[in-house]
Amino acid sequence: MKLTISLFITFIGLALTINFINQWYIIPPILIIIFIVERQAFLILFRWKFLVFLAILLFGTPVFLGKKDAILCGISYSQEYFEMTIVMLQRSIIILLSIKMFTNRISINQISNGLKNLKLYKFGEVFSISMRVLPEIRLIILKSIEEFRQKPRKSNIFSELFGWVVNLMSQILNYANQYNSSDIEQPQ
Amino acid sequence: MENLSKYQKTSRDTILIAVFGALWGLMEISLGVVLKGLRLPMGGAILTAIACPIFLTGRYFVRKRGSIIMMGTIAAILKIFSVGTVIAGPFMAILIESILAEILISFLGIHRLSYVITATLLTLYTIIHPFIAQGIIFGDNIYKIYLETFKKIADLMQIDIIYLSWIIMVYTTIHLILGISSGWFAFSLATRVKRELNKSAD
Repeated sequence: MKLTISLFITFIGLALTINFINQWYIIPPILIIIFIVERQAFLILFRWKFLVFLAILLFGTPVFLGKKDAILCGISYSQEYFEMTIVMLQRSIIILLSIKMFTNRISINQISNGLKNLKLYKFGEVFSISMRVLPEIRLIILKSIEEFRQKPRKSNIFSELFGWVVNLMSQILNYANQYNSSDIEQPQ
Repeated sequence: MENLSKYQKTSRDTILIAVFGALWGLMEISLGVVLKGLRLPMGGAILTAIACPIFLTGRYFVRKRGSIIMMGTIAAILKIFSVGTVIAGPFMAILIESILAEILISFLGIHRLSYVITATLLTLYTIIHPFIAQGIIFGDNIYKIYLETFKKIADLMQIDIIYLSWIIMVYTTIHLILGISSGWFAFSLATRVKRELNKSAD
């Protein structure tokens, strides 16, 4: 977990400093390391929406914007905008790959334990309780929705809905109040 | 329920923050997927308008600074670990919104006006959040590209800037109405729930 977090922070930091000059010795090592550590992360690059956006950014922007001072295959484009979009593209890829690598390799339980170790004790405790109550809250909501669906309508839908939300929130708060407070660790 | 020791109050607050954080996260995961599937416009604003009553109700019962930020962090972590693709944008949005909400409520106090102001500002924030998220992911040159693109489109289609301003105003007004409704609802919900709980306790 420490390795994953260190890599994540390093890659994000490097991504924020990428420019046209240093890109050639920052990008390849990062891509290689991410490929070795978590090649599944690269799957996010094959989302069509992301690819279309990148294509528009890389090919469309230099052709339509800026001063046309270069030609390739008969098409005029702006050298300045081309270099700008290359850097933007690489920065976005590195940031998204790093986030995906991080979320693939770390579980919520590890985050919860890690937060406790970081002496963010209060948040670690709160987070682990939230993980424990999550299934029960989901059940309360589903049961409440089912009851609402089956209940005959007596008045207009808006006041019925408001009444339902009040009832649901009350049930959740009652559950929270009844939650076994001995499960909370004693303060040191 | 009211005559609690300091430790019991802290424990109760801890549990309430955890519960409302989990509830917020659950809403973001489940409704977020539905809204994305339906491809509704203003999906972010709708999610924010629904999230506001959740965390503002939680804040009504937990009179502790920082509690909204904790709830938001729980929701953001749940969101980023939900099944599917990378969701850096929504993760940042939830965190930023929780920080903004906490600052506003801590500064303004807990009453209907503060709830309305908070929900409205957060809903308005969803208009600019995509630009902020893209600025982080792509760098600030993306703004230069957007500006040039809008100017180019306006020139090509011979659209007067005044018409673009009208479109932006209408869009902003819809967000405003959504935010005001959400804040009003949030305070009504919190006070009504408190009454119901007190009734059942008696």
